[in-house]
Amino acid sequence: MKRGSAARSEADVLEAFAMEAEHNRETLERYLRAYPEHASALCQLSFELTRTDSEERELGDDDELLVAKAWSDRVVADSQVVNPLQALSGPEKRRVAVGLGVKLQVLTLFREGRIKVSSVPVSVLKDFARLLGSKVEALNRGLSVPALSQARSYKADGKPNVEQQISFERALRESGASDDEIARLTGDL
Amino acid sequence: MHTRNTTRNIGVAPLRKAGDDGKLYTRPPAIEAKLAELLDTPREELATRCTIRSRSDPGFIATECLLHLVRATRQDNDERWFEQLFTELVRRILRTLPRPQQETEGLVGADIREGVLGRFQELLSIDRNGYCERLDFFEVRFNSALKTLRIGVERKAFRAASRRSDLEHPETGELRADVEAAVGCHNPFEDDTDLDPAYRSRVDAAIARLPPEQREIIEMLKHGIPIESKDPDMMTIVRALGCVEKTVRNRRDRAFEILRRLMKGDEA
Repeated sequence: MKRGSAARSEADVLEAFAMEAEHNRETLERYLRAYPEHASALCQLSFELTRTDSEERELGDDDELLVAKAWSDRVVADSQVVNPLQALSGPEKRRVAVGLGVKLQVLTLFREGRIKVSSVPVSVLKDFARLLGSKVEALNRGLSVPALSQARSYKADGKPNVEQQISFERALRESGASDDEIARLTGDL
Repeated sequence: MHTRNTTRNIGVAPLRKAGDDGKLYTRPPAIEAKLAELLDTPREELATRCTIRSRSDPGFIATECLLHLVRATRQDNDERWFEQLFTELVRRILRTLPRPQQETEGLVGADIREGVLGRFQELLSIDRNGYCERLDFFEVRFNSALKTLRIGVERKAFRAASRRSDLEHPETGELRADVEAAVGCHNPFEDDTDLDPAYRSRVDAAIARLPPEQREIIEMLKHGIPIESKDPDMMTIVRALGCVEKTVRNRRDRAFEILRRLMKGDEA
């Protein structure tokens, strides 16, 4: 358990608690001490994880309607474009940045849809896709839109202002990359 | 030799999320072994097995495995296959959520149901456009992850409702005298070590119907955490919640009264 992490989100703390091997008094107290700001949520989760009553119910017709609606929402969502960097955690961003050989700042610009994807060499896009477990085509579309401000909508905040987009090379340069690094990543070597 | 039309070409990819100890999440060995078997199973057979509900049935597919198969479809163009897996996964999620008609303390079951499904869909959207580490948690402990997600949705709904019991004085949080007089202070968990499992299960079902601010106190009492203590190092309910002792005792008493009523109704 991370200590002194007052800024951890409720979802992060609850997940860490749920992943603990035991949910006894010792574990609950440890989390209550470390995350007093999430005390209520931790107690709710503690109850849910240890409750003994049956948790499954039979589905009704309205549930089946909801299943059908969920599928149609799914089809619509899959046809919409989401920035692939949307959900990356800090360590994951670092892993991708290291894998690509760029600074985190460049990844942030990609996340904001501020780099012209057409200026990124295909070889870099292939590496990018591999690191994200995605496909180049999906990456091409996804990097063209900014990430959602909060994961509360299927739609991106809006289309990027093309005039505000910069080239991959300029993004590298502004991040402090050396000439050699820039040449390697833009295919000039 | 691989059977035709299986999922083997995708393989069981390791999870990417790292825990607090810095180590990557790993699936339980039983889930990992089952996935290896499922990847060599024809899809027609998997589609049938996904609908098996009895966990004791040898053909049962754990929801952690079902989710893995759903996530793997992003590398696949078989829309019909994805639909079969996805709709079955949604059914399993719905079975664990409150009935749509059920209303508890201002929260409508239908709202919770749709809120949880909506949030899960968002995670899946992110995953299908790249990778959503949050879903790794679901592949390790699906039910725990779903409960965690549901609590987030419920807490948000409660905050939005800004509901406050009319039994409570709006400023002091103290019980009205007439209510206090009607409420006993017997703790139904004092002698719970020997509770028979069926009774315990009914008690838990009743606790689940309490408002969150009462349920959290009952949960701490169940674990033996005292309301207050002179020992500054002792964790107490008052310290955990940052409430005054009187408020904690009032909520506890009110919870006991509701639980007694619910258990009585249950027996009737």
